[in-house]
Amino acid sequence: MQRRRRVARRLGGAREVAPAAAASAESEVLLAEDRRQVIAALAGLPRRRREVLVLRYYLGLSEAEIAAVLGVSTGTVKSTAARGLAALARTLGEEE
Amino acid sequence: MTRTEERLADALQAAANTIRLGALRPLTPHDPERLRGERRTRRGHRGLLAPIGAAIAVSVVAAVSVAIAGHGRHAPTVPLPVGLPRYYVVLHDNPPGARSPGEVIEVRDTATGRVRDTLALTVRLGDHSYNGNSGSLAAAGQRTFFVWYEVLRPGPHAQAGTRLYRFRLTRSGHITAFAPVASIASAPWDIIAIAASRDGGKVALTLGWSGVGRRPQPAIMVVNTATGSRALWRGAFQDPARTTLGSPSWARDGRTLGFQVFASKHNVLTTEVRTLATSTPGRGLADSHLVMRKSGDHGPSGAVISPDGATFTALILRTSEFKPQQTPSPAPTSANGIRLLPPPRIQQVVWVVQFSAANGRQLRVLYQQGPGDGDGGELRADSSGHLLLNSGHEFGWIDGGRLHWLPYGSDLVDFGW
Repeated sequence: MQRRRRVARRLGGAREVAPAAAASAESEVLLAEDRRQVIAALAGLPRRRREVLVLRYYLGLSEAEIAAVLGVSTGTVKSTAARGLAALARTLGEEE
Repeated sequence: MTRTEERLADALQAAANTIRLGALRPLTPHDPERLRGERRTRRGHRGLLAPIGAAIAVSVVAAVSVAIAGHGRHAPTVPLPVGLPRYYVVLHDNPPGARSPGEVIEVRDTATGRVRDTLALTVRLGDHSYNGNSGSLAAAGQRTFFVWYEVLRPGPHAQAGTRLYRFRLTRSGHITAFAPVASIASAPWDIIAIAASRDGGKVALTLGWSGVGRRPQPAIMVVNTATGSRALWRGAFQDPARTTLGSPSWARDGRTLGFQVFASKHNVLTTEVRTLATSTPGRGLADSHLVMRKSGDHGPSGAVISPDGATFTALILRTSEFKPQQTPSPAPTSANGIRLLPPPRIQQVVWVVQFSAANGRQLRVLYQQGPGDGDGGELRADSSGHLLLNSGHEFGWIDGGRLHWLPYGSDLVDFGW
């Protein structure tokens, strides 16, 4: 939901994140906002893409493991992850 | 890792450290056989079917999604204007209580907000089974709707494709005649948004890069739902990686399509509203007519063309972020040392304005809301121009400068009437 809205606002809203080691209060607020944007963008993805990205980038499962968990082929995992990342990059206004 | 991957991994880690346990959903392991409607045969994989960590991780995101999507209020009982759609349809993602994970179509009564019918997209049609990844719903003439989602074809190497489905509503609001219409975009395309013409004869899709294959220019595809034939209008944008097409909507003539172009350059967003004459197929989007162009944060987030094509109704959102007034000192830290800060409060003002399709001049303000909590919104119109708004925290139809609330459940993906 709200994909277009996010696209509209966040294509121009990508921010650089300050290194954690030198985090000031301001940069930490920016970091929190950056994470909020990423999570909001993730929440806007279709369920299957969201699941694949969470399993891949939070749990660190391999494509074969994700395929087994979700009951799909590794090719589907690969294409779903790529589509999910492309959609995230588009929403967050990033170059791949 | 790309920058997107790094940001995603960092945000997920942080989210997992800050999520309230009470906000997590019950464990809902994914059973591929159940998802496909098949009997359980792959026992060798059962050990991986429901790793607790995976379920928690998915639940974290689901819980965040619920928090963002919010819930509707109860519909007040008001006399409905003549011609207002009797039903509205919402597309849910993984609603609580569903028998299997996936998207669910829900039909609700505009007068009462009550659910009249539901249909899980996991329904199996012929050889094809649901593979997820839907995201869009389009209405055509109040009783006909289209939805797309990815399907699996049977075989040792199950192939995924994207199919467009049509369904109709009976007079009593029940879903009927749910059937595939055509196979539509696949790699390198990804569907951003769809819109159906009033008679349901054409469906327009705005397309972006799927992440697979070589990046194409953003494009618009129009599918003839009677024949399955497709026509494509490609863009010729300077920076296709930072350009997105959205907000497709049809005028009543079934030939004029309104759409938006969102382009970012040096962190400045430019928003355009355009019209495309689809009666001249196969030409590029450069031939479309520019209605308005705005730079900065004041451009429309959504825009729908009026039935006669003379005006557009646009959703304009102005968002403000308020940093937390007080940060605990020292700030609390998570188990892995990340400092936990309260998120900024997001407030927005919502305008729904009408402007001329001829010159982009603003004609009148139809609705204003806020400032209030919220971050985002979407606008839809039926084939007669009745407006349905999701402003991020309130959902309903607009008439006479007021928003008439409607309930919509949770995990709203898309909606229409």
